[in-house]
Amino acid sequence: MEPTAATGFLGAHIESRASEIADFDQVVRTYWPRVFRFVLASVRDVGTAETLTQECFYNAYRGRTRFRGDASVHTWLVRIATNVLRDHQRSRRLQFWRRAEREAVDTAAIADWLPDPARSQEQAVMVSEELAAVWEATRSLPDRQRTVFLLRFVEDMDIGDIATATGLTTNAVNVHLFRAVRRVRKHVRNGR
Amino acid sequence: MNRHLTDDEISRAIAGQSTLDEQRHLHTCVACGAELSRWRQMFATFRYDVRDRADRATPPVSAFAEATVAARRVTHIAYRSMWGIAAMLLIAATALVWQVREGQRLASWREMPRRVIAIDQALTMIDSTVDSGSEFFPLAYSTVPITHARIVRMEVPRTAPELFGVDPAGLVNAPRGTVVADVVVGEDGLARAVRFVRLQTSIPKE
Repeated sequence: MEPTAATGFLGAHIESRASEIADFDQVVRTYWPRVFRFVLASVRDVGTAETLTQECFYNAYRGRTRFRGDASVHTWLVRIATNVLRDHQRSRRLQFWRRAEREAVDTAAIADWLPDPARSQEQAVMVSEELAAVWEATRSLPDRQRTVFLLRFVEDMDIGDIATATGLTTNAVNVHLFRAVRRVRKHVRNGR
Repeated sequence: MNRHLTDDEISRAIAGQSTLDEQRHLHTCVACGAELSRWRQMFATFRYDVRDRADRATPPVSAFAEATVAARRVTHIAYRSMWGIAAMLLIAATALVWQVREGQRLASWREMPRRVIAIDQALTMIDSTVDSGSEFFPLAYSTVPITHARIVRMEVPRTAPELFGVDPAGLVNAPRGTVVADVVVGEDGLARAVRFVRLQTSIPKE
């Protein structure tokens, strides 16, 4: 059967994605910040985030021959990062103690990072508190809800890509997302 | 829809899962629209915050990428070297096994000419009367292993070299009409090989 224009385009698209992996140095440079950001938001610790991001790219490098281009490179990397995070969180649960999160979010500093310097001191404090509450709420979310929440609201990924990256169905992603939003809102309201 | 949206409905709207009725209500109801807008703003601020923190925390990408890539290259080179060394060892081991097995299989025949040649060379150095001759030809017991051998020089009929395809011309001992041959005899007394010798001078007459 002759390939149709649509399948031809799709094939070329997949081939293009697969060839993107060939230059792995470029993949590291392009996607490192995005993956690091997602990991950092998940673990809230810079040192751990760096280690896990490095592990993610190392795993990606080792498994690069298995990348077929069905999903985008970013989605593929996020999927690997999700697995790395899951393993990390599992191992942490087995520990009797937790390392101090010395580089965790400093709520006092958050107000300085906000984009509008003209707002009043009172507004800044309020926004700062709410933001800290959102951070705190994301930490308290179950792993899957947190992953879906971060991929949607930090990484701007659509539901289909999140489903591919997490290995969940789109329905399951929607359910986790809704529950995460509801939980975060409740946490922020209670903390206000 | 006259009533305001519930908490869950607002949460669904934030998650992008609201129904058509809810979407219409959000467009017309100022209070619900403001609530949705407020949460969207908050999550946008959260996104900005995460990105800002990540940008601040991430060392220059190039440095990190270079470090990662360099570490990976070292690992890759180490792996390649390991594979190279492993391949060389494998080849060496295979060659050794092959050599041992082949040596065992052909021990008697392969070993003997070397020994014989060594003896022959020694003989040549000692006996200046020997010029040159034929190669050694294996005999019936050439495959039987030996540890020691000696060379016995004897006179054989002139038809003997012809049996091995050697022209007896020039080999014949004129006075007796025979040919001189070196026979390799193992410690068991069995002949392993023979060669025919051309003499520069005749064998001393008895």
